[in-house]
Amino acid sequence: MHKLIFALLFVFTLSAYAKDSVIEIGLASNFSEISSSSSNPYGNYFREGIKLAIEHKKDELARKNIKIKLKEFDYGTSQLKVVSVAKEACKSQVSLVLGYVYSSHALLAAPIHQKCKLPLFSPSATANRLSNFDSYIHLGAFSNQLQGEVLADIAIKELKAKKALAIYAADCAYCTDLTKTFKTAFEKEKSTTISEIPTLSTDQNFKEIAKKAKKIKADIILVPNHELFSARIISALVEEGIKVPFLGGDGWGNHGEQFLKVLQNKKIEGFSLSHWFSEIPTKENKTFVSQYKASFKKSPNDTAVLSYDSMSIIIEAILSLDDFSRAGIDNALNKVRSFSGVTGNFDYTTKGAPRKSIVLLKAGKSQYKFLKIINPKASK
Amino acid sequence: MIKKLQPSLKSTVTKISVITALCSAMIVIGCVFSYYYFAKSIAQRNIQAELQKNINAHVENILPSFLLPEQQGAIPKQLEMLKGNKKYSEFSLIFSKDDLPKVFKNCVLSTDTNFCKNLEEDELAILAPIQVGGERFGYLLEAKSLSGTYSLGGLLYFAALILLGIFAFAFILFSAFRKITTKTVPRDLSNLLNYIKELLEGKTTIVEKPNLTFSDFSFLQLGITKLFNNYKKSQNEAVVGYFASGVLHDIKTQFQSIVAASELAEEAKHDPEKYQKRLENLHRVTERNLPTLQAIIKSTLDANKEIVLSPQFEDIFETIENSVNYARANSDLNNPIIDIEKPNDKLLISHDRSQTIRLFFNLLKNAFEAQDSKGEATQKVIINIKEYGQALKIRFEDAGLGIKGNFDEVFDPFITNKKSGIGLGLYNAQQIVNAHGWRLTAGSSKRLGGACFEVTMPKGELF
Repeated sequence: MHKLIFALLFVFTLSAYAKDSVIEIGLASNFSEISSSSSNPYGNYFREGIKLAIEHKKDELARKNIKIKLKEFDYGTSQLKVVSVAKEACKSQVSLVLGYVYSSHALLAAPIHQKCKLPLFSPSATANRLSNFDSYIHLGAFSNQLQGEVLADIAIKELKAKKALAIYAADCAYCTDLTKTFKTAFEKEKSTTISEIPTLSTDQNFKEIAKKAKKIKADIILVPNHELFSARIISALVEEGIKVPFLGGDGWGNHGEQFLKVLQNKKIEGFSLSHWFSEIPTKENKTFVSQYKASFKKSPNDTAVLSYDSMSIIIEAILSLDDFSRAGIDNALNKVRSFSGVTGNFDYTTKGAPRKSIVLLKAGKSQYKFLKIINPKASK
Repeated sequence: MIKKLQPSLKSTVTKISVITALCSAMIVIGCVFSYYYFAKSIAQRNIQAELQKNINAHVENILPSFLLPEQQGAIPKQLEMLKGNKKYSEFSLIFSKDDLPKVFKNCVLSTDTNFCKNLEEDELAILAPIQVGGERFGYLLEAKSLSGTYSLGGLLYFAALILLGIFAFAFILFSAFRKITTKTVPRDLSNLLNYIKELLEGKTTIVEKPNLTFSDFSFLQLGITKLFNNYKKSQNEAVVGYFASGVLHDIKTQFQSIVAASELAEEAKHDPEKYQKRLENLHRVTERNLPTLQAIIKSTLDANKEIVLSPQFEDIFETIENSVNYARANSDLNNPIIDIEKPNDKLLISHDRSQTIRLFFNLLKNAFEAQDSKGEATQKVIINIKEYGQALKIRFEDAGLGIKGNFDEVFDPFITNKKSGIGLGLYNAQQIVNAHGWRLTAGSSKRLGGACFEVTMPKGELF
């Protein structure tokens, strides 16, 4: 009898200790506005990737009695709103914020998060400066540094370009950052030159730019802007009779349907970099694509897959935690050295952005075509 | 010019039209000068509003470029785009007071948006801080020229608006004035007045009774008073007509007695004794009837005669004494008692003595006749004279029958309640009083129980 009572007491005590830990994670995105690249309308792809990751890890989380609660912070497309959202997140009860999908958003939010010691995880921002933050800033995508180097390499080695032209939106942090790194890498090679034509993201008419570009007579033209804006510029250049290859970064997206629609079947030679391609024949990718389609009745895009991988990294870090405070979560994330995700292997051995494989795409008739995966050099 | 216009200004309507036209011309001239004076301030206000409206959008567009070093390269391009807007003359980014354009050196850099003018005061600028939270990156200056704010088109438009307003106002004023001053009685009032007229005429079969909806009782009072006056006048005129034949009949009657006595005397011419007796009879009849005849003729003539005064400053008490003596001499009564109650021995009043004697004589005669009608053996009249400030009141009180009915009606012609008299004495008295500008009122005498007539006259100059 005594033994029975003792056993019951033990079980009840254990269950008290085994109470669920609720971790509130903030999701910061442009939920109320369609993005310029149409890659993340109303934040849906971003939200869906995260939910799918939580769904896939729910058993592991349940074993550890961890419940994840999501809280959305919406900043639309206003950069000023990003600042106020970051401050709001700092004051809230969230332990971590996953979001700030654009480089400019992450750059604006990062100092605020660092100041209030709230971990920030950006799934898709690639700005180089983000890697300079010592703590509380975590990235899930490769950097513009890597992109610039790869693009310069393609331009010089594969396209044999000596003279390059960059047409970029000067009020876009991602665009200027990528241009700068491309320029640095391109000009490293001897006898190569690069011209620049800055524009503004509010510009609608590119005829004058096209005329200027034609006069420059570059071998390749770098258009390192977001998907639809890049497509409009290229369309104007093609109408002006420019037929050189065009290069772009991950801002062109992974699918190309909208991009090519703007071009209205104009034939171009275009190369872009991406985080992922839906038809990459890996097991993880096939599983992810089929499960995403089954859950959300549509195909995923790079925003969805990056947020899926980022949430997976976060969950992995949480599963190793005893301390669920902001500092505890930040420490856990800092300890992640590598991760194998749908978008490839994440190498966190160096500070800042992970070293990851890059997908090279080519513009086809109605969508991009997969060319190859470029693996970064291993870190020392 | 105004004197030349005066002969042609025959009606109020014409006067108003001319005044309105003159005022409008003066106002238009005033407006032209005002336009040039105020046009600049109006333009400034409009430009101020335009600048205020636009600056927030411009700052919002340029602000993100300041937030990240990666985006600051866009600032010159954004400024160049703003400068390309030909609506504005100046667009500048200001980071310190030294960056202010020379012409805008007096502008102030503050935490709030503010306006300032250039040194020549022909450009207006707005200076807005570019800031987020507590961090200020600089200022955006937008300026616009204030010149070219006048235009012939603007002036004509302004003048046309003012003229339109003036004529609309004048039209309303004129219409209101016409309505107020017109003597036209509205239709409903016309119906009412016709209704009353028919009642006065004793018509019992009035079919259309008025449905009065108009509430302006001044018009109603005016219309009814006029109607009654016309009615009374027409009645009196009818009465005068009647009495004209009556008066002639009386004269004829008086003459007939004399004529008959004369014929009798003529018949007895061959009989000296008879002739003598008939002559004595003729004398008696003539002596008896002539005064009556004279009175009839005189009264009738007086009623129709226009009274022309020759006023002099004379002692009114002396005039009253004369009246009393004249009345006693012409009275049929045996020594009537006439008491005169007066404060002073002498009081100079501007009056026409002979007409005033006639006035007082008529009042005394009226008083005598009233007591004669009553059958009183002794007749008494009190004349009371009193000074009330600047006025003198003279009261004639009798012990007769008194006045029955409306006191004011006793002054109407041919109104009498006496056994003798035509009813023109008081009417004549009223005419003399009116000519002098005095007042004659009727009432009752508490002391003597009969009538009381009071003449009120000013102690000052008549004319």
